[in-house]
Amino acid sequence: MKRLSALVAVATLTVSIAAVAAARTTAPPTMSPGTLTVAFGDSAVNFAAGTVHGSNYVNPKGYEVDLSSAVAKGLGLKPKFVYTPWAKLFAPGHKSFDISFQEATITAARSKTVDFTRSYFNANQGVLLSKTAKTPKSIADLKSMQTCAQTDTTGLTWIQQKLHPSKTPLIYQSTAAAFLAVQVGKCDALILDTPIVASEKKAHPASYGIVGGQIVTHEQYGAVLQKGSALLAPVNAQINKLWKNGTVAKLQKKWFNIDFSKIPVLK
Amino acid sequence: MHEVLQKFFSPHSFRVAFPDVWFGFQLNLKLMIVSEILVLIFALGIAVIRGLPGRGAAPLRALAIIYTDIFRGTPLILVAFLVGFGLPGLNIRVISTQSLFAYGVISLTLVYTAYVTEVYRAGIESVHPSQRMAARSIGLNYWQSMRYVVIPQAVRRVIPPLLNDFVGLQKDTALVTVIGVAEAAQQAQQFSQNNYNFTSYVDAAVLFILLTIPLARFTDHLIAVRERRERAQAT
Repeated sequence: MKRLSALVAVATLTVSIAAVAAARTTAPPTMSPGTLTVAFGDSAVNFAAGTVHGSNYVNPKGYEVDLSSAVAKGLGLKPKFVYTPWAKLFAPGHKSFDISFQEATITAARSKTVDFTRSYFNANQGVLLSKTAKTPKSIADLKSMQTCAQTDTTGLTWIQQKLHPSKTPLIYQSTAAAFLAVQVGKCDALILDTPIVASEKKAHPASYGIVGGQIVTHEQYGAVLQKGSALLAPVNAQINKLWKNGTVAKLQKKWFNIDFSKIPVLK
Repeated sequence: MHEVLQKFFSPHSFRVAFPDVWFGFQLNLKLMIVSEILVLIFALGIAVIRGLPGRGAAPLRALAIIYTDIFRGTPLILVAFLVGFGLPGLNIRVISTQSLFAYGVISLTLVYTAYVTEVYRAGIESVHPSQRMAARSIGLNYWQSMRYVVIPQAVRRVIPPLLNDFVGLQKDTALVTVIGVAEAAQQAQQFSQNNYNFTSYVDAAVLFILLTIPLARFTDHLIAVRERRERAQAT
């Protein structure tokens, strides 16, 4: 009996060693071998912020940078950081990256054209006010304000399908342009993911009014891959591992030392 | 092939997207009409200033030259950013509180006035000096000779190139989408992103083409008429 269990143990060990060896030799198929090309969008404070030189991201810093580096390390790859514009992230067709972390909310419509990893962040929509705007007490107050959003965001969808404001929302091509519109007072209330607006407000407190509220939408951020990418399964396995071993929680604490629950919920 | 037809030329999407794109296009129409009128007026003024004689007018001439050099050389998209985000950021009463439509008109007018000034100037310089001298010799002063003799001839000559610049202006109204104006291109983009179909862009393109083709034919017609008239005079 003892010999049998020892035999089983040896057999299991051999199989698992073989599995590990197989995993090592068949590196995941990336655009350039040995490298995981990770794309970020417009600088988002605390998520991924850095200088864009042509298509390269120079020295990016943030939660998504650390997380994607951990994923790449787990896959035995070196990360390379590139820039890709938000406006074409969900456009069907060939992608110029292996994986992109852009605070993209997982939705059924977007899943038609790209693949999402499992969630690496959970968020709601936040209302960033301009310095001259009055703080809305309810969603009804928000209706009469000049709202704005970035093109192709869940915030914009919420404005158009749920809020139905009295003034046409202003739509900007980049996060930077939308923030600028709030700074100069062209837009009273920018509707964008709470962690993004809260981080921006924290980084440049004098440029904005307060984050005047949040709208509970329970959104989950997933990283974006080309539809049908063979990387999806190995990357998901890595993200699962990072949730389980506490890396995700540790990184979120490191980058977002903001208590989102202090922001009032608008109803 | 079927995929291409579905993504770019789907008749269904064309119909569904059309009302929104048309709604946005009306804003393009307003932008172009208001800007074109302002451009015609300002450009003529600046062209005349550039042609002022005498040393006393030298500073005015210099200002006109600086203006045309700067705005003819600056891409419209930069001017739109500077005007659409920069002016409201100044926090000055009237200047900073205009509508986005107004900032769009200001950007388009600044850039196209610089182009059209040059067109007018070419027209004014193409009027033979003997015309001015004849006008002055019958007792008209400088302004009268410009008003009744030089400018009418100059404008008639430059109508075809003017219309050509207006085709450019009409198309460039789509660029002010960058400051948040909900015009045709932006409406088309929204439809495209919500439906993963590019036919809405074709909607917008068709509207722009439908607007410019008649203008192009009209320009051809004017050129033909002028040629006929000049040949008739020559014989």
